[in-house]
Amino acid sequence: MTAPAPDPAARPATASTSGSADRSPAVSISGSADRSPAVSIAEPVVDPATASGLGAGVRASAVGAPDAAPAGRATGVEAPIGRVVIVGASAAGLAAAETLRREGFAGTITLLGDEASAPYDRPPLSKQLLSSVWDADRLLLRTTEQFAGLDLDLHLSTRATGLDPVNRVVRTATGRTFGFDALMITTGVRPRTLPGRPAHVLRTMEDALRLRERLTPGCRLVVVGAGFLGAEAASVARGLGCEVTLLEPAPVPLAHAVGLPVGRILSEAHRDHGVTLRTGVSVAEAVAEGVALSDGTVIEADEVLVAIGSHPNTEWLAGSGLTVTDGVVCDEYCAAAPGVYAAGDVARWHNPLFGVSMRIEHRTNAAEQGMAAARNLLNPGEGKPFTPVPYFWSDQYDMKIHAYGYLRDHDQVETVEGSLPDRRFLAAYRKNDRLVGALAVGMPPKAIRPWRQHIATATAWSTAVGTTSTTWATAVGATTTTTGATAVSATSTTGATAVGATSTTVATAVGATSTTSGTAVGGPTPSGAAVKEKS
Amino acid sequence: MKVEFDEPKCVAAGQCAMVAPDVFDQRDDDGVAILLDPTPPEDQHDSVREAAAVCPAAAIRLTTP
Repeated sequence: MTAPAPDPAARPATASTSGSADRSPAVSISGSADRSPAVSIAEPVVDPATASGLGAGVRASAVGAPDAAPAGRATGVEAPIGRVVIVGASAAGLAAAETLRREGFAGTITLLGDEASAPYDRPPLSKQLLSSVWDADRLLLRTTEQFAGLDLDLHLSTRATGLDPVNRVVRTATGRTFGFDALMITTGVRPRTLPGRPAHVLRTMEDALRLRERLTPGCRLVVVGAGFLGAEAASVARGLGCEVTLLEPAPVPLAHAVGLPVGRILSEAHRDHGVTLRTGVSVAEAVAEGVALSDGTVIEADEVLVAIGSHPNTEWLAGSGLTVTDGVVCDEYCAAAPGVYAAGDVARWHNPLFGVSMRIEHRTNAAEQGMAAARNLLNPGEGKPFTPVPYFWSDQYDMKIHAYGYLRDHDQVETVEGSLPDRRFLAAYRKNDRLVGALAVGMPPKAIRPWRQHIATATAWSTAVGTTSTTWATAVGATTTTTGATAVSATSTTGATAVGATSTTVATAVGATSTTSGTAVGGPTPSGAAVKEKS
Repeated sequence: MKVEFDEPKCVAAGQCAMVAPDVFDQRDDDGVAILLDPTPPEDQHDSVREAAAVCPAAAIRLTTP
């Protein structure tokens, strides 16, 4: 990555004494420039000769290896932390900032966000905001007063473009530098896009408002991708009177995530509500008339929404020495290197509860991981592994779907309560010999709680499920039958094709501009910006 | 501490009832949270702060945190 031109206003790295030189008064929300770090710590950390630069930290870190020495643990001499930089001002970054203060951290907290808006909530973007039930203001996560109380050195519209591991500074698109003693990476993800003409995506408030404006009655909307986001948008668009076509490469939407039987039930809801659902369809590109399939067929549309997954915003970390493999690779303490942590959508960490490396793009995880990582950042010698039961919900038509645990790669799914055809059920997921997940539609909390508890305590499948479950679900378990295996395989193949094409686009855009997104909001990206400008 | 609960925002995740069961419960029919005690005693403050922080709908606000 090319370093930006030096900022004449930036302090020399070897003479760091306070963060005030780095402040951007125009957007600083409080009087944090006057804050004196509890302990001055700058010199030992910025001097590569005396301190572990990031590179050294990475060598010592345990990224992704559960049995190696964790980076989140004490690694020797540690300087007190006076300045924390959080890159990414969405749910995870905000949770981290609040946790630092709640835990008594009195030093400088610099929060960088690439969107213009103060932190806001994303799940309503494809729900209440898109349907106009809520105004945008209702999505703001904190009031102005609450922000002021946090005494943050807040820089919005500020995209991080680089991380200097030796001097321990974050560079931004404007050429500014922000020195840190500890770093929290919460830069989130951005939507994958299609080749061809710009199409709608749904990640930022701006995206949602732009799409909302176009969803008038009778509008022909094509949604590419029938995952949870695409399904929610299709559901809202139908409610607004649009003609909706939902295109999905897999034979059964979401089968890879929730299993075939549940995927089928969720798909039926689309058809029942008048959505044209086409599965096994590979989309090649967005074109003037709509979208072109890989066989050349064009499906006409007034508006096209692309919801084919996301890409972690990690390009700005190139050359930092951090390991990036579909996210910032962290150990079970959410540490990527000594003094460097990651949380939220961008973080890939080892979750000991499930024994696997995972990256979770759920709202709840962003907050929980931001909190956990912040605590570990402050207490590296006494870090606690981050072992959550992932949770997400989805609103589709009249269904509210709750899912707990790690459903992906399950070996078996069974309906243990209610009935799938009634769309009122609880499905349990097995991996090896244990219960790893549960998905509920229309079930009361009393029915769900024990299952969540079982997942949290790694209960054996035989103990959790017993003999109460229906047997037919076993026969269609995602990976236990020929049909299931075929479907899953088909999903992977077509998915990979679509993703491959998308990745190329992203990579090209990134290469052309040499900067990428730098905040948790995963917002405007090179490709995303193109969408904005041209649509 | 004063707890404000924005019920229309609640998504029935039940995180609050799990973290702070003395202050939050859930309705049986749809799982929407119930605020049991808007002015919880001090020994509940930590768990209530945790509940507010992990609420996936940002529906819990503490006016004097």
